[in-house]
Formats: sequence, C-alpha cells, structure tokens
Amino acid sequence: MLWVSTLFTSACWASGPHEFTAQIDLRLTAADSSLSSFRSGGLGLLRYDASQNGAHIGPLLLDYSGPVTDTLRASVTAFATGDADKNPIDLTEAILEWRPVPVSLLRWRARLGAFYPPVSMENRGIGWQSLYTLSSSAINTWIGEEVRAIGAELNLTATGAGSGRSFDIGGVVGVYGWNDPMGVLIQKRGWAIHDRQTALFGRLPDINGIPGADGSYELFREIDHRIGYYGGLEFTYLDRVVARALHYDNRGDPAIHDSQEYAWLSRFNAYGVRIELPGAWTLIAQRLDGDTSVGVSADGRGNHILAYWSDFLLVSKAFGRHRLSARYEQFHTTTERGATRFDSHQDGEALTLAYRMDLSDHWQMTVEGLRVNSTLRHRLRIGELPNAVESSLQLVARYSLTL
Amino acid sequence: MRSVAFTTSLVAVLLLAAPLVPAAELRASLTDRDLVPVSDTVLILSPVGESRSATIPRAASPPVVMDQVNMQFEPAVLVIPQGAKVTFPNSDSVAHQVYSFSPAKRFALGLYRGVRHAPVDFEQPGLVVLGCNIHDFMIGYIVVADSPYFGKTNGAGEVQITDLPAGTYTVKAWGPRFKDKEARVLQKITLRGDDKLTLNVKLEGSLLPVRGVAGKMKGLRY
Repeated sequence: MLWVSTLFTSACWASGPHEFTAQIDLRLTAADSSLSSFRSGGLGLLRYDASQNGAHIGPLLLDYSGPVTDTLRASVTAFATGDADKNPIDLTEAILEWRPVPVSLLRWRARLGAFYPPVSMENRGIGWQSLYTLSSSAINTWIGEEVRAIGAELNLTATGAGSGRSFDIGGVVGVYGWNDPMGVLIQKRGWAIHDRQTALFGRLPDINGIPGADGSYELFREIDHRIGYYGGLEFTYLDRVVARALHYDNRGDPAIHDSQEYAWLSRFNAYGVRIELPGAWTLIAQRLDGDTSVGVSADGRGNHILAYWSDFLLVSKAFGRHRLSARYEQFHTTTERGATRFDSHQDGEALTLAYRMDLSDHWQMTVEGLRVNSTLRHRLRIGELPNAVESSLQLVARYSLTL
Repeated sequence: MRSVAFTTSLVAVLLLAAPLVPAAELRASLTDRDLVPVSDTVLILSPVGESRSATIPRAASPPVVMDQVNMQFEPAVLVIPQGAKVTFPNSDSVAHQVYSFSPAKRFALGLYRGVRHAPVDFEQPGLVVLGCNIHDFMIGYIVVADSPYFGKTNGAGEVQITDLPAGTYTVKAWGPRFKDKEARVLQKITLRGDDKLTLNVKLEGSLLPVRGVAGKMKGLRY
C-alpha cells in the first residue's frame, strides 16, 4: 500500500505547479597548469587544477520553484560543490517573486530575497547555469563569485506583443545589503573562468597564493550598514534581440571594517546583448567595467583602488539535440592606487569551446575545452612567473530530474 | 490606420461537374512583397449582406487544443469560430501560467502543469494574444473568427477553405507578422454554387520577422 500511495503522491507532485529539480554531474577533468586553483588558495583561474585531474562526482544542484499564492512564487537554489566549503550544501539564491498577471501593456515584477542582478546573458538555465558552455565567461564567473543582491528589486516593462509592437522596453531598480566584501576576489586573484557560484553562507579561502594558508572570506556580509543599489534598462525585440545596460554600486564605505574584513566600495557598468538568428545561431556579447576600493583615505575613496574590465563574444549554434559554442574573452585589472603595497595587475584572454548534446530528457553531455592565457603580477609574491597559460578539458555527464 | 496596399489576382474556374450539394471553395496563397510565402496567417471569409443571416457562426463542439510544448505555444497561431472553447494543456515539464489581456478575451490560468483547467470560452471575435507569466518569451495567438469559414496558411503560404455556401464574402487576413492588431480586409468576393476560386495575395508593406528562431532550449529558466 505504501508504494502505491508514494507513487500516487509523486504522480500528483510531478503534474502540479511545484517544480523540484535535482541535478548531478559526473565529471572527468584534465587541467594543464602550474598554478593551484583559487579554491585551494592558489592564484590559478580554473576551478579544478592539475592536482585534481580525474573523475569527480558532483556538483549537485537542488532547486525548488513553485507558487505561494496566485501571484507570489518562491524559488530556492542550492549547490553541493563537493570541495570542502563551510556547508556541505548551501544556497546560492532564495527568492520570493511577485508576478501579477499582466492586465495591460505594463508588466510589473518584484523580487525579494537573495538573487543575481540582471547582468548575465548566458546564465539562463536552472541554477543560474550557462546554457551554452560549462564555464561562465570571466564577467559572469565573477558575478557568480562575488555579486548577489540580498534585498529587493522592482521591474517595470512596457510589452509590445499585445499592441502589435515588436519590442518591449523595461527598467529595473534594486536595493540590497550584505554585499560589502565584494571586490576582494577580483583584487587579489583577478578574473577567473569557471562555473562555481559562491554560496550565500559559503566561505572562500584567502587568496594569498599559498595553498592551505589560514584565513577565509565570507562574501555576503553587511559591514558598513549602507544600502547598495543598481538600476538598469532592457530592450527586447521579438524573441531575437535582448539588450541590457546596468549600473551597480554597493555604496560601500571603504573606511569601515569589522573583525573579519573591510567593506569594499564596488561599482560597475554592465552591458550585454543577445541576438538569435535564423538557423539556430546565437550571438552574445557582454562588457563590464568598474572599480573597487578599500581602506582609509582622505578623499574617502580608499587607499587601494582597483579598476577592471572584461568583454567577451560568444557564438553558438544548435543542431537539433547538439549545440556547439565558442567564446573569446579579454580581461584586465589595474591597481590605480596603492600599487606599492599590493599590485594585482592582471591581463588575460581566454578561449572556450564547448559541445553539448541532450542524450535524453534527463541526460546531457558536455565536452569543454578552455585555454586561459593570463598575467598576474601578484603571482611574483609566491615565486611564480606572472604569466601562465592554463588549459583544461572537461567531460561532463549531467543527470537532471524535475518532479 | 496604416495604409496597406495589396494586389490580388483572381482566377475563377467554373467546373462543369456539379457535386450533390453545391458548395464553393477558395484556395489562396499569401506572399510578402518579395513573393516569399507567408505562413501561419489566418484567412477569414465573413458573409456580407443577405448571406450573413444564413450563416450564424457555429461553435465547434469539442474544445480546440492550444498546447504548450518546449516553452512555445503549439500551434503558434490558432483560429477558432466565435463561441468555441479552447483547452490549454501544458506538455512541458515546467509549469506555465497562461494569460491574455486582449479586449476580445481577458483570462488567466493559475500556474499549472498537465491539464488542470476547464476549457476557456471565446465569445467575442477578434485577436487574443497569449502570454505565459513565468516565461515572458512565450507568445501565442488565437484568432476568434466572426464566421465559420476560415483557414490558416501552411508552410507554403497556402490555405484552402471549403464548403462555402453561395454568397458574398469579405476576405480578411491576420498573421503574427502583421504590424496591425486588426485583420486586413483584402477584398470582397462573390461565390456561386460550386465555384472554385484561387486568390493570390501579395501583402504590401513590411512584415515583422518570425518568432521562435531560438528553438528549443533545454533547461531554460530566464
């Protein structure tokens, strides 16, 4: 009787409005790099370094999304990264979303919780994963590592389809806290390219270039009790073009610190466009430029200022169940103030090639090759040459089940 | 009202062999101004004058299906007679919330998967634009015809409408690539007995590009 009732319950669940998704990866990784991964405190830019070559089980993703009322929707995403983070499984997003059913050409949306600001054009999948490659671009890797809006967002869009127009125009505003240490990773290690998102209560080892050294960061903390904001615009043309611009400012007070970390003042502008072309071609381009600063200074800007930018172009083509994607990117950081104490100047470029195939409704296979050529002056401090070419090949069998 | 010019060439062929119940037939083909076939476009023949009263729109008895497959409405364009009912099954593994705020029909179906909602009545003629409140890129269209005589062009831009009683009709067209929400009146035709009419319509003016180029995206959420 028990199995009958279990079967019945799961059948009802699977056809109801509550979606529960579990996803697990089986990975084979082969990295060629003399540097340790930032995950173990090194100054390498890959998630899995050469010491981890071989098979991995995980990461594991658990995701729930479902209605609370007719217009309120809750979603929660958790990852088990399997790399000895503070918690074996931890949240990356938790959102209560207000989605009133549109009754006119104006469409309102609001989000409350912990979520990504609308920057990425490629991380469109469940769990904010890229649909095109395994590793996100440097820009979106960094967003996944250091940026999370823990607060509220309001979005208003004038839609076109109901009026015979071919385009939508929308604006978004977000206010948030708990993002004060943002900037510490890009300052110490620079840009990186991978698919690991920092969990809301997760901890990253101190990036001092010495694997296993003490010290760690918790990135989503409130230190200066100042509210940050972002504001952006989005333009959509049919289902062919999406273009966005967003200004982000965490309004950190770089002079304030607590027992663990300073508040960093981090600001950036992000631009992105995604174009869908006949023949299942997709083009994505993004650019992000900004700066981050920390420490006490007479002008309030901090005694250490780092400016950074990155851009990329991704080309993808689907052939039925198959998808081929290629991405080229450049990234750069410059220490504009305080270089005598700490100079993390970084220059680099990367090429990513990925092949994806949907084997069935539940299984997807990805092969990704990644080559990152970067210079990071800070590597001199640990006796490494500043320049390093890191490459990796990953084969991933991904199983996902949505109930 | 935007000016829309159109050119039609009309070829009427009278057949000598009369069927048991005389009924006329219209074959039409639609192209854009560059003579490229225009698919998924609805053609409606509305009786005018005396013939109108003889043809009260008849509702289809079983509900018509507007499915949701791979995060797209299937079909993308559905044409139904006034008074018909439509079901909105969701064949995707993710939930959808279908709605419309078009004047011809305002409705919303709470978040669901599978078949959860009763069929929806479409009493008013006109264009109903469908959306999904979870997946904003999902757009579908239901054209509620004020006449039982209609059809939709296939991939070759062709449509055939049969069993037409003798009479005079206004020929109207609407498709998702039109920039107007209102149907374009193409012309009037008069049919007798078992006329077989062929209509070649070249839609002047520019049309919007086709939606749905991105195709299926497994695991898409945003």
